[in-house]
Amino acid sequence: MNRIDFMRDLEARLGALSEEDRADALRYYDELFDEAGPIEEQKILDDLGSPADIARQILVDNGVSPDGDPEFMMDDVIRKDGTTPPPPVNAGPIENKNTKILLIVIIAIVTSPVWGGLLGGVLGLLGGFIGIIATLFAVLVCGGMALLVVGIVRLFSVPPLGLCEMGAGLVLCGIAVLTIVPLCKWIFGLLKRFINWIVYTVKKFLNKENA
Amino acid sequence: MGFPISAALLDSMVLAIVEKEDTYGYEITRNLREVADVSESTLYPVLRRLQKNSLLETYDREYMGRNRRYYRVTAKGITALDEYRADWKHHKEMVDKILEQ
Repeated sequence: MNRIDFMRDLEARLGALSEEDRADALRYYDELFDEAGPIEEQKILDDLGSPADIARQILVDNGVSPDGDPEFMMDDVIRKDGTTPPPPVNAGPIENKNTKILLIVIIAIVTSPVWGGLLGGVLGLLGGFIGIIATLFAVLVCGGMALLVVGIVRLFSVPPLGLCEMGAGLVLCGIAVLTIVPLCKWIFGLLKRFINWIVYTVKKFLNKENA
Repeated sequence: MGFPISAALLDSMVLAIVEKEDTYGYEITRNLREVADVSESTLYPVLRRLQKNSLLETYDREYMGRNRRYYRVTAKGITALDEYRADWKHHKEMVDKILEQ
């Protein structure tokens, strides 16, 4: 096969294309041979492969099925007779975006006793937790300090008992310091996650409305 | 080269070559061949696709008694190339994260 044969074969196989698409493709391959020159002609022919494969690729790229059109398409977007099926019917009328936002605000206000109560409940629960922890901390620290002071005083009257009380006091203070840090971290972590969750939910809701 | 070159990668490389300087099909293939195993017949669908999507446009210029078809990047093509570059950079970093750990 030489250049002439190649071009003739390719042209014959591109019959299904529009005049413009065919001319463009042939022009490209013709120019390729010109650029390579007669000495490189055989090398180009080897590189290119068969005109059948090239034509097939070009046809597919231009939306032409090389093996003919199938009788039925799975999604039936384009029918054999050239008509397109009616678009799917929308479930409901498309509302105005502004009306939607107004509606959301009204619903939010009307239902505020419900979610307000819920929010208050959650905040109350959180406050209660913080209160319990603060009390626990205060009791531990105060108790520990008191025992320490009593122990120091008693050290002069009953030394063993004084030492015991001092030790117990220090242990209580130690427990207070050791527990308060992770507990605070835990509470604040919970609070942060809760706020993130609210922000995320509201954002998701708004996005869905805008979509 | 051991890794297959995707259509998007081929598109972006062709856009980058033409962006540097208006050029013609044979020259683009020669450029691509320096880094990848592509044949002349690989390039035509790419050029045609880029042209149909208005990322490239063509004009003819005379050369040795015949017309040579030159390709030029459109404004839309430059935008697309910028996006490809950013995507590729991201992709490369992701792959490097694993390969170079």
